[in-house]
Amino acid sequence: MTASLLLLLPIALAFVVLIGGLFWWAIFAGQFDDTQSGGESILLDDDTPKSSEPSDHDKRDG
Amino acid sequence: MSALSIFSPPVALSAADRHRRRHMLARLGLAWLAMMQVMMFAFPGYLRHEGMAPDNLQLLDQAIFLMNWISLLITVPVVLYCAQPVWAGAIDRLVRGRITMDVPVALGIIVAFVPSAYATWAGQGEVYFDSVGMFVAFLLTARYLELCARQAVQSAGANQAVEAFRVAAGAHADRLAFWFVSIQVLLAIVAGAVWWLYIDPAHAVPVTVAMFVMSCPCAMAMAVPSTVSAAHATLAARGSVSESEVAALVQAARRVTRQNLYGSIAWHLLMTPLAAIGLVAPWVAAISMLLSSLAVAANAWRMYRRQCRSVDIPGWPAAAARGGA
Repeated sequence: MTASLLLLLPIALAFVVLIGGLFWWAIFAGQFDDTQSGGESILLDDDTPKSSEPSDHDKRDG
Repeated sequence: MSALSIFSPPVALSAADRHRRRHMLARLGLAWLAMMQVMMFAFPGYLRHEGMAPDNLQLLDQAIFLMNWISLLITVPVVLYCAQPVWAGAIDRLVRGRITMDVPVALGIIVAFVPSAYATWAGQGEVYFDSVGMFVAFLLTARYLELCARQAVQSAGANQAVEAFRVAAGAHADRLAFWFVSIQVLLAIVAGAVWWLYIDPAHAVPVTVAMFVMSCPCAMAMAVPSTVSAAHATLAARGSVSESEVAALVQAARRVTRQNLYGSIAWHLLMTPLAAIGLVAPWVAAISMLLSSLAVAANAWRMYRRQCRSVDIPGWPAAAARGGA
């Protein structure tokens, strides 16, 4: 049992360090700096039609 | 659109505030991660008892020895990095000859960590790394709530009446916390000494650690900031308010703050004798500390909900506050 513990415990430790490191990176890369505007962006986008001119795609078809 | 969540960082944060907030979040998250790991590694220690078959006992002791070392490796960064605000606060205040809540917290961490590290090195004795991890993680949870509340208030722009209330209530809470902490630290030292000298030296460390954890007035420290931020959030949700409405709001905030302050003191008074006679393990004390802090935050939030419900205003903030519970 001790042999398997000697293998599994360092793996567990490595995972803790890996996850802690990823979390650290995510924080200091600014991932948690703005949790509001992502949700609001769907409400705030510009819904007005762009222009009445047909696009290139429509011209080719018509 | 008003920012309803205190957890979304305000847009107008200064670079220094943003940096502090990031570090607090990193400390909080890493402390919780480390706490869960250390609790897992502490588990074999709770299984051990002398009545086991000798070969099982030997096997278990080997596993405990290994896991204690891993716990020590994980706890060192928790003590050095995650608990850094505690060290900074405690040293700063001690240099100025004052006692605040950082002092008993720092003592609690030292009293739990140093004997555990020694026991790990020596290969025998009890370790309390799980208690250290829980203590730091729960404490940082309360601190993070407080920081979020304070930054949300700062960026929202403060109302004069609520500000005046904050200053007065804050001074009152600081005075109460000072006496509370002084008495609790004395009690912890006395209880530890009595256990060491007269009752059972093996239990002196857990009793002292539990007493120090109990003496942390996290809930008291949160009482005023959480109520003030609830009051500010109410004002933000209501839009324009009359003088009399602000007065009623401050009155409600005063009542909730009083409930929080004296409620947390009563809770501590109830738990301290239990800890002194050795009925409260250090990790139970840490959980009780977290529960009292969360109760204070929940009470302030309840005030915000009630205040938003009491006036009928159009717009989704009020509708959101009325929906649900």
